[in-house]
Amino acid sequence: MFKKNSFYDFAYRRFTRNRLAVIGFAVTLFFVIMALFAPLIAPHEPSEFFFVEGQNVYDKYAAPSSEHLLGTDSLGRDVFSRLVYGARVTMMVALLAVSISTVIGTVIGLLSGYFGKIIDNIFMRLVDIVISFPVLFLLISISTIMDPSIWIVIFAIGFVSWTSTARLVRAEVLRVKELDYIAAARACGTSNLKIIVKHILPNILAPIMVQVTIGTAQAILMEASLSFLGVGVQQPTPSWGNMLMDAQKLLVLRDMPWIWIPPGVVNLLLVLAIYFVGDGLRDAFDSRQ
Amino acid sequence: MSKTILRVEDLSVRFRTEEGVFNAVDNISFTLEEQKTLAIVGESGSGKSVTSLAIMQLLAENGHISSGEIYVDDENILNMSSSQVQHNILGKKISMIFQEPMTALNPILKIGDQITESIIEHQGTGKKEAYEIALDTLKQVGIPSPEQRIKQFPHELSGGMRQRVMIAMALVTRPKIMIADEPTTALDVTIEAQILNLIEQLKSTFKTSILFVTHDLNVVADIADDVIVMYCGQIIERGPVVDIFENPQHPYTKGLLATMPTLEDHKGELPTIQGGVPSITQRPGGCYFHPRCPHRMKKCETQSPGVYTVGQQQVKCFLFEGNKEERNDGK
Repeated sequence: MFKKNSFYDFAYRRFTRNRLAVIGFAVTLFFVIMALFAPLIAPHEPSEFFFVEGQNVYDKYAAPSSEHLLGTDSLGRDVFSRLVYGARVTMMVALLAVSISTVIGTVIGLLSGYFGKIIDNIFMRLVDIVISFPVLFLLISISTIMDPSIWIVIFAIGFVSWTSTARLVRAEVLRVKELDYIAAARACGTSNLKIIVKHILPNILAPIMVQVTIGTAQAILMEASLSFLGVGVQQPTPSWGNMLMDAQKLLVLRDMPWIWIPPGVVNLLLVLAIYFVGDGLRDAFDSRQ
Repeated sequence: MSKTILRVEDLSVRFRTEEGVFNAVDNISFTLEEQKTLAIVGESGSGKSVTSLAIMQLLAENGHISSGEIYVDDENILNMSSSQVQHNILGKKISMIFQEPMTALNPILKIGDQITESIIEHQGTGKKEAYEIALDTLKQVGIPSPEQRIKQFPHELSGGMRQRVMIAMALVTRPKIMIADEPTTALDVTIEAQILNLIEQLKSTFKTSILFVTHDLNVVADIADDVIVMYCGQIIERGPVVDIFENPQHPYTKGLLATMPTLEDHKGELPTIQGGVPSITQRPGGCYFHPRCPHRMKKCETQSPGVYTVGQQQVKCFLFEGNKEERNDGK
């Protein structure tokens, strides 16, 4: 799979020996496939309303049956179909948000760590400011001012969660840039840009990848809590977070577990699986083992 | 008279530390002639490595060149911008071999990628052509089956092989000056001998001058044409290698040479020089060596000695005050 005897080849072998990580990977893969092939798996459209047989009334809160595997929700929509399509939305939000935060965090971390001095100071103070943002209130105010859309959620999560990546990358750069091979590259007359891109970045890719997995899990949780509070992904688009909104009603929470247990469980499962993958990656990249 | 290829004049390197600002290298001057090997010898903390790093402009962030000039091919590189130095000097006219072959190669790049880097950077050749040059250089540094090695990662090579790769990296652009900072310290003795032979042999094939930084006097005797002995950032003695070894003048040099074990005598304990190199923050007044010197005089404690000529050598010591004085600062 990788060039034989390369760093990644050894890491791959170590990863595949870690049972928990492999299970985590399999579970994650399962949800990814579910998201990709949602139209084939889901029996109904996610926003299709169902009516009570022969009446002009929504078939609300229907208990699980062969027609609706996980019953229907407060508007008479098929919970299972929404769950399947929700995987799509949830993962798309998480992945795009993590891409944004990883790019920002990596670039800022690289510049900060490599050039140090004033650049480092400016960026690190920026990190301090962003960390101090009350994210939830920020989002609630944004969603009241602007038309709520899935893109706002993505950018909001992306723009507030790059700080840990930036700090991690900066610390890694500080470590790597003192190593002999960086001095050796500089002694060959290699330009700063090339040293950063060709010598430093590939050598700190491993911790970045671990950070990406953990960041994805956190983004999923963040999306869930934002949507649960109604400032995240908006109806009728299904996401695992806004499916849990129904559970805010005491009646649903008490008597209709089929509405809120499935999205809660898949959320938990996916986040847990991704954390296992992250842990596995961290151990696999740790060449001391 | 051969051509001077590297000329360092009145170089001082200053480090900022918690306790203040200190001169790690104090007003040193020397020249390196074409196709010669100049060895800089000294204990740890003598400033020998700092000197080589200063020439390569690789000083740590808290260090800087506070005064002096460094001429490469009669051009003062300290007057150039950092990008000029990077494009025209580093890797092109001067290159460097590092002490630790285990850490001086990027672990995730293949040997070939690392060697071709400076060719592509400096000669603008295509990847394929650079690869051919790299292959050729690997052959010249005595790497067996280079076609295979060039595709391998550093951890697949032994220490000696890696040091050969380092040398290939340094020589691939045919630089005029090669700085070797203790290139054999991390290697075992048999490999050390091979690498020294190789450096010696490459010096003539590539017509390179070598600035060899080491603490190992046996290596110096093997490889150098001229020797500079450094102590506490100053040059305390210099001269042709034969004179330094046969007839050392400065008490420190004498002491250093006396510590060298020989094959002939087995008379128990090796002689040592009393005390240790004072830390940069606690250098004594006067001659830096006086607290350890067996010949110290009253004025050694307060005045710094000038540099006096003794035969082919120049010695910074009051013992030779009667001799012709060179300069007060070490030229």
